[in-house]
Amino acid sequence: MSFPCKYCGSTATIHLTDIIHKKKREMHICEACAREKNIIPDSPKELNVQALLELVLGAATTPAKTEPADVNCPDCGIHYAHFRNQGRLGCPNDYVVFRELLEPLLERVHNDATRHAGKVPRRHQRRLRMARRAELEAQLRSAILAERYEAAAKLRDDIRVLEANNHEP
Amino acid sequence: MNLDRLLDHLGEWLRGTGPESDVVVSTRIRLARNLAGLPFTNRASPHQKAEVESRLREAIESLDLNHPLRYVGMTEISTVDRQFLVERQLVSRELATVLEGPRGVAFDERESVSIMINEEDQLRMQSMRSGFDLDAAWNTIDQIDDLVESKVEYAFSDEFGYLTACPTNVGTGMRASVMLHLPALGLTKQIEKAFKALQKINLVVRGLYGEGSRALGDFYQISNQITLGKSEAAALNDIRAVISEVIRYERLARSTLMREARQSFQDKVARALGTLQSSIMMTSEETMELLSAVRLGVHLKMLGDLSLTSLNELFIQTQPAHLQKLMGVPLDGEERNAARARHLKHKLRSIGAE
Ligand SMILES: [Zn+2]
Ligand SMILES: [Zn+2]
Repeated sequence: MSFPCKYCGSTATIHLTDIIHKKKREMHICEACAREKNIIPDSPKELNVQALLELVLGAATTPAKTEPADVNCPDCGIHYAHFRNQGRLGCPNDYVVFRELLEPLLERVHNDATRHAGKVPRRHQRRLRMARRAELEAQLRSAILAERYEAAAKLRDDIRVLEANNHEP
Repeated sequence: MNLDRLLDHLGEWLRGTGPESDVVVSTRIRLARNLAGLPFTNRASPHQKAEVESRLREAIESLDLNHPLRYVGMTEISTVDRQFLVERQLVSRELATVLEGPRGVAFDERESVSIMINEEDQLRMQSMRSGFDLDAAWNTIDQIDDLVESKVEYAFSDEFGYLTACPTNVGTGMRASVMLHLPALGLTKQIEKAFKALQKINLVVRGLYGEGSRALGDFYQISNQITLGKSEAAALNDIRAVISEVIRYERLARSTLMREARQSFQDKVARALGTLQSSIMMTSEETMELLSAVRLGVHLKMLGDLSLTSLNELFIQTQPAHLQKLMGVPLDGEERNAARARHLKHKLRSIGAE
């Protein structure tokens, strides 16, 4: 079985699938059209994600209704509209500044996900552990004050486990 | 830095060994990382790029590794040398020819790890393995990532993970790609059927180098698309499951070929080898197609003396920049086609192909 190219109808060699709001969307493109649309550069290395983004997002999102195009990042100065044009953010802070605008986009690209679920750098692990410990200690204090001793014992165990992990590399 | 010494070697990804290497050429995993508190490359001033380059270069060159990484600045080498590194898949075409300013790559002598600095992201670290070996590739790059992170602070958020210039990479920043050689699926016209499995779980498949319905030389690259909301291990498991299926399809198609069309297939392999041995002019596209057929012949034990390793050598050495470095002079298209034909003829004779 072969699929026709979305643009010119000849046999497609590039097949993209993404699932948007539980609905699968397939896209089939021939090499020539992909090259013309700049989805693949001449190199075999990687897709042109910017062009790909435009393709995947473009149809569904333009013209955007609530897009304040002139929001810009105080750190790097980039405007949201500029990002939408070229597909690249300007600095890490943009994820904070453009957060609400980026979330629907991230959902579309990443299969409805908006939260990281993978590796965490060590220095962040330490910070996370410290925050978690403070939180547990607060809960422990209020459990003791409320004389909920069973809950307090459980919290004390949790803190101990956290302590033990603390010594891992 | 003189890159000529690499000419006599095969990079790790072309070694032709490793698990499932009858179908899988290579496995690579790359991680995208950026430094906290600095703009991404596309928004960085020349001064900031220089700062990023020197900080990262220093961090990378001082890593305590069995095979230390050595840095090559893109601005310090010739156009042919940059192209040469692209052909060896140590740098992206972007880094070599599109991007500007301070940028470069560090890699080890085995060419199993390469770290690009000031690519789209400030760090693009990748590990390569021949054959199908996601675990080994992941372990290496995971460890290097930890070591680098002990020296610099990455841009990271609890919510979005590793922050990247393009939101398609945010989260793990990980892209795992497996390069497959699927000539029997190509010959038996079952390639689309085989790839239907991929479309179920958000993987991207692309033909390499090719146009038309079949990828040139039947080389395909399959990689994960999603980097957010899915752990590295889960993403690797998805890709592992699908690749195993594709491998099974290809092997099935090969045995079908051998059972039902043995003679015409033998004829195809023999003609491919004959053409490679006797041509006067040879384009790189045709070389790729013919070597693909010969490669399948080697897998099916039709060509006793020829090894996968020496075939892989021919694949890489017949690329434009490799050819020019081998010949020691710049060559235009026509001259390259002639030099390529001569090189193939000579090499195939010396490795004893009948
Ligand atoms: Zn087309
Ligand atoms: Zn910014």
